[in-house]
Amino acid sequence: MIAEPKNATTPRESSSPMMRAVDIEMYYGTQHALKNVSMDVAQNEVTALIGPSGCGKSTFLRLFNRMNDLIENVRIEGEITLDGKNIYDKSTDVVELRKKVGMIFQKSNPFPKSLYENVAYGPKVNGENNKARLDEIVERCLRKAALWEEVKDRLKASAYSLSGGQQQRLCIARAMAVDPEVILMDEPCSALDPIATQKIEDLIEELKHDFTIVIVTHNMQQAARVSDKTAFMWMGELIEFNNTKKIFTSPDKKMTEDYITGRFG
Amino acid sequence: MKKLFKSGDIFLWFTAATLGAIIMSVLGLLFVVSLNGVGVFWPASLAEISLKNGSRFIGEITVEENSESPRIQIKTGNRDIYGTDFKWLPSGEINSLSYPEDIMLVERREFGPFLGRLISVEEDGRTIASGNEAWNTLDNLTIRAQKLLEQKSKIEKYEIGSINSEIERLRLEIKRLKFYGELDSSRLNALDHAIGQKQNEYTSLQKTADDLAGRTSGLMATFSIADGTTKKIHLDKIIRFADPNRMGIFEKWFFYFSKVGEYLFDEPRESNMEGGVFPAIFGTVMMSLLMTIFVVPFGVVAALYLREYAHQGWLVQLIRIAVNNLAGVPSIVFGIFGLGFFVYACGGTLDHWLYPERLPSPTWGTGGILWASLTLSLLTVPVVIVATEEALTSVPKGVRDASLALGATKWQTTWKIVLPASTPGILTGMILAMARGAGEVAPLMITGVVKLAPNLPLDANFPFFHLDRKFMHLGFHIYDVGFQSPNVEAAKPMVFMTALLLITIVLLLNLTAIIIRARLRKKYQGSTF
Amino acid sequence: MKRPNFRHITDKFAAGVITGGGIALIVIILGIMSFIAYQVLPLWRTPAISEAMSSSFSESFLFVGVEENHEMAFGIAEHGEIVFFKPGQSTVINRSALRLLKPGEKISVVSEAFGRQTFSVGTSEGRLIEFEIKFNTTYESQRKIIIPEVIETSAQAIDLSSIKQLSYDSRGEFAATSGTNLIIGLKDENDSTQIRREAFSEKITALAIRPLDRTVFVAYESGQIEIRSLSKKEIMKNRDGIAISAMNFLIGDMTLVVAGAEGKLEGYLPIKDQGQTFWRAARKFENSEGTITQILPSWRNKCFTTRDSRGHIKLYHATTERLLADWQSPIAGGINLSPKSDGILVQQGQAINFLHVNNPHPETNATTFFGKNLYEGYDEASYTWQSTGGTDDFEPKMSLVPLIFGTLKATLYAVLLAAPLGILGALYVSQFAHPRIRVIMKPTVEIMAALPSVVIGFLAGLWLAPILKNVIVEIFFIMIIFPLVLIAFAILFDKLPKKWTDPFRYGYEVIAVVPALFLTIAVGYGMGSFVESAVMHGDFQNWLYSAMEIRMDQRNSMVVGIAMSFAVLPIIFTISEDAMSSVPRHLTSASLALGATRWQTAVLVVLPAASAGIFSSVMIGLGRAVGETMIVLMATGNTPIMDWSVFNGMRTLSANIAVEITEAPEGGTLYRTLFLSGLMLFTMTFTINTVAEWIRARLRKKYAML
Repeated sequence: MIAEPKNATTPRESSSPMMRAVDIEMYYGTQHALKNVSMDVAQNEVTALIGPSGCGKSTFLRLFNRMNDLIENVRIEGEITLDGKNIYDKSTDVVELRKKVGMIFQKSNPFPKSLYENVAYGPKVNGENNKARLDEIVERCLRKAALWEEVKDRLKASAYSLSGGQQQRLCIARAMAVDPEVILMDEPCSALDPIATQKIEDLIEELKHDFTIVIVTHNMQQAARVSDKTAFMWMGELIEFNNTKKIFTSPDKKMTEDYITGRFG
Repeated sequence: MKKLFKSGDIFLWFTAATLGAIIMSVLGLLFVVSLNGVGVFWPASLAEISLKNGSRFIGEITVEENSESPRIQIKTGNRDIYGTDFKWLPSGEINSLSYPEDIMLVERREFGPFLGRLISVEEDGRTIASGNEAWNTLDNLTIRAQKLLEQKSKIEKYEIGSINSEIERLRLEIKRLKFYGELDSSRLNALDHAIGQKQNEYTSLQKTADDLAGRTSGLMATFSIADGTTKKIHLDKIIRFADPNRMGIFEKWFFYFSKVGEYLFDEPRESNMEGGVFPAIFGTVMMSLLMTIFVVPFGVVAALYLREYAHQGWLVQLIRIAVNNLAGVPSIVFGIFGLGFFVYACGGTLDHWLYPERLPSPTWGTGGILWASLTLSLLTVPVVIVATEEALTSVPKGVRDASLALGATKWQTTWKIVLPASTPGILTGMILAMARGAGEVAPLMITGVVKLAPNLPLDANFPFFHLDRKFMHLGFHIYDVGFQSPNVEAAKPMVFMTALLLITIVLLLNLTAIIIRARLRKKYQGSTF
Repeated sequence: MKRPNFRHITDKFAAGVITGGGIALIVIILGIMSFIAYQVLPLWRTPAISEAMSSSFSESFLFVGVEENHEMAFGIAEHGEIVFFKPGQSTVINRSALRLLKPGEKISVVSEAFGRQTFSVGTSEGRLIEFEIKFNTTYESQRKIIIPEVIETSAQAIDLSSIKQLSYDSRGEFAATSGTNLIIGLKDENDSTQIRREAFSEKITALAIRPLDRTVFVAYESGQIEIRSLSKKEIMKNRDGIAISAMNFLIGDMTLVVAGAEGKLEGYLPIKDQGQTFWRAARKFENSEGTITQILPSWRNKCFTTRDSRGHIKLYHATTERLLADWQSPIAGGINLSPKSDGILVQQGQAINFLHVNNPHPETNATTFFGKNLYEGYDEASYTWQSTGGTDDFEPKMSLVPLIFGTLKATLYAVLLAAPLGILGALYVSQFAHPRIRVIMKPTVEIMAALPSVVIGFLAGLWLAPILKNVIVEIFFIMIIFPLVLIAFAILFDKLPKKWTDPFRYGYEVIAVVPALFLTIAVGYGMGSFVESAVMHGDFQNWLYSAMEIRMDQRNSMVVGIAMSFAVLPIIFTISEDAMSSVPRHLTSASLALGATRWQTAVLVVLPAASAGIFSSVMIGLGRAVGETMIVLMATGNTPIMDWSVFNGMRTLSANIAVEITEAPEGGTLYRTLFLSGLMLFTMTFTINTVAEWIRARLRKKYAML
């Protein structure tokens, strides 16, 4: 059991990286999916991963909470650290890791349960059974996800009764309920209409005060709007990683510029 | 017309006709079973027929044949007098046919129904009522006799039954001690004494019961049959009587439902040809439930393994094919496997371990409800696995990922998210398995089903569940009464009734499964995955 | 967080349980198959003779025997003492002298009656003494004790000189020779023994008594066999002139095993030929190297054991003509079988060897199950299934061929009916029917599939069969006029005003066609009954027999075919419907867009594309029909005959199991044979289904690529 003491009271230093990927090589069977990728994720910042489809950005994202473990035939080299500890170490408890590094998926995926149960699920499976505390968590998270006002009267209703955008915000609320340090977002708005997208983006802006966020998006405007740092990936390689402003105004690499200006992708 | 042939539309009509024929034959089958089954207990009018040669018959007209030599078949009852239940009469020979109101239908404990006219009622050889009063007297006295008999059978069934099982237990105890060489004289005396006491109790109870029966033995009724000869019937042999030709529609319905009630809740009589099928219903239900207890957990666990836990490689693919094929293996093969493995191998071994003193008479090493349900659960396990797998597949992957990403363990994800979402599918599988179990006969008849089981597998005597007992089953009841009974023609209505009951049970189960499945599909189609 | 440890333990535990469940599933699937195979295996185990133990005594015996559980053996000595001992031990437990033997009289020959431990001994003074040996068991403080008892029943003088040869049966009949005389004692009609004595002119080499018809078979040096009864004697025909060294009847008295000089071994059976019965050497066995001196029949089955002059002890089975085992004995004296034929005693001088015989299933080999065999009481080799008879001496006939034939016949009739109906129906539903019809059809077919087979079988046997018997001609006509009426109906439908017909077009034809079906039935029925009464005098069954010599069973293949197609049709329908409706839409659309009609599209595009699926649906249907039990059990007479006629029934492998397994003792030959038929059903259906599934999987791949 990992007992990484969580020190919520110590103010986080924005300069120290929350997570760090070092020399990552990844293979899908014989396919070389990620090639020597290194990247730091800074605390309380939004880091965006952009790149054309199939460039490995989603795969890379899933390395941060070891969701790729579920896929057969995957081999990983290099290391990813969280709070300075390698998460691919043998002693790492994957379940505990995923609690610290939450994830939002491309398609909203609420459980076939009530709204309340969806949000309370995480704390419950992690051992929280006190009704009052659960109530408090549910309300807090739904408020943070800007969903409370819309659903507070029907917490017992099925999660499927929500609209697509609401469902996605519910998923975000659900992810926050286990009090993670990092939230990974895998194209969270790809299935949503512009208004719902807008709401999620506003939410991300809010969330970054409490969480560290890594977001994968295929929408460069979105990356430009919400992120502090942006990484451009191509064919499994990290081409350029820098402040978002820099990437979108004067990228160092020609390829980055070509992609951003829409010459390929 | 040319177009009809050239376009091939004519062949289209052929395919439509084929489909029509299929639907018609299914409906036809259900219709035949319902038609023959529903009418079994209806008190039909009884005709009195006199022939030109002077002979007279009373009976229910069952068949009218309009062939070259038209004839009618009547159900005369009175098996003890005529030797058969049915008679063919050539229509041309019939002199007169009427429905006199005074003809009575008497149901007896033996020899099937009796048809005739009531003349008088006697007590100890002395006539106490005749003519118009006879009916009411008969009615009152029959009720009295039946109450006494009921008390008697209650004593026999419960009190004497429990004493008998106690005596049997003591005897086996002696046998066991003897076998292990632990029987000394003091123990033997104590046990013998206990048996003696029980036997005294038995004797006195039996006397009470016999006294009850004795109080009715003097009561008789005299009837005349169609040809005028008289016949005396003991009142305690009469179950119920009626005069269908005089009955109004409500009385007929009342009679009908009392018969249906008897059918559903009573014991069989006359080698299963009459009375009820309660033990068979009970056996069928209990066997299906036992089977469910075995098959559902195992089927669900196996499906979870195949879908959620196993490495999805060629091995799982192979197992899946094997499971599919297992569903296609003939049920009789499961039957002989059950006989060889459960009954002889497992049961025989259990006997050697647990009851060596009782050998060579087997306790577990012979067919029984436990072995039958285990055999059937092997037979139905593919049904549950396939249904569960289908349900598991329909749970979207995203939901699982979300749960894992929240820090739930795999088991928590399975237990709290995947299984609840697949419950309707599992339920469907369970119901289909039960339907299959209720309708299956071949493997059961070699692993524990019998024609007539003296005791239910569940009763008030310790240890209450007697899973080693043989049991009765509706499907086997159909086969046995329809094909093995001494008087197939007379038994046919009963078989139709049982067939109707069985079809109803099986189809209701299947319809429930179909509906649940349809809902399940809708639910996931309706969501925004 | 609380209880994280507990959470992980639960997770591990659950994973273990579930994996265990998965492994259990594999174990079960493999287990069922191997268990059944394991039950079958002993049928092919080679019978074995093995030496167990030996004893030796200070005296030599004329004859040795053993009690049926091999717990006590005995020897009969020349001076009339019977010595009891434990097999394999040389200490005498008990001695008993024959009291009827006179002082100085010696036993010259011993004969044991067939099937009982009663004996007759011939003496040096020409007398026969009969006695019985009984083994009484008692228990004394948990120990089983066997007390032998010799009961002498009679003594009679039959000749003046010493008896040389003797054959004796349990009724007290005998045939014996002294130096010069042949003495025969047989029962007459009044059950009193009549003795015939005559001097023989030619040397007698063997005697065999046949209690069945109270005859004695006498073999002479010339190789002739004379058949004698009280009233007459005749010479067996067809003898080859080879001298006979030994002969004996097998259980049932129907097979006479004759050993010729130089070890020729044959079985003679009474065979009818043109109204007369002749003994013919119908069974040939492997020759022996030495001269056979003893032929001992088993009391249990059609096996026998021979001993030859070179010390070989050989075990044969008569029905299959097989040599089961060959044992070279170091001592080569007289032999005797134990009552259960599971032990052989060999005795020479003062030594007695006891051999174990392990021969639980002598009658089984490939020829028994799949070849033609000549059985006792039959006139030619045949495929016959008759596993049990009323008596102990019954010869089991275990040919699976009639059952396989019956299975194939039932399957064929069922599939012949169900396949066209199912496929055409599926074509309509998948290609032409309105979605609403489809929604109704699915549950209808599911209901059909759910009907318990016992109900279908009951209806077929008790409702359909009696009706069908009377309406065969009518059904014949209905089938003939069906296309005609349908064509007429289609033309009429075309001509009717569109206003009326349109609601029944484009997917609803199935409703419109119902009246046509009823019309077909009505017209066909009318024509049929007219023809039946006009041509066949209203009785098809009689007509069929008198005109074509075809007997008709009430529960015939037609009934089975119809009933079983009810069970098979839903499968064929569902799977072929699935195959047809998953033909990619763009293919049919393309065809329709090119101006092809719906029918042309169905036949030219859909059927070829789905043909593999349709084929596998028929195969899976076949698999279901092969194993169906209750329907055939109830809808046929279950007679194992081999006849393709529609008017006869059959017995299938599955029904045979259901009928006979309750009568088969565990571990017996019949029991294992039924497991063999179960294994055959298992492999048949497993293979059929696997191939069908494989075809379907390939088809799905093909569709996915299209």
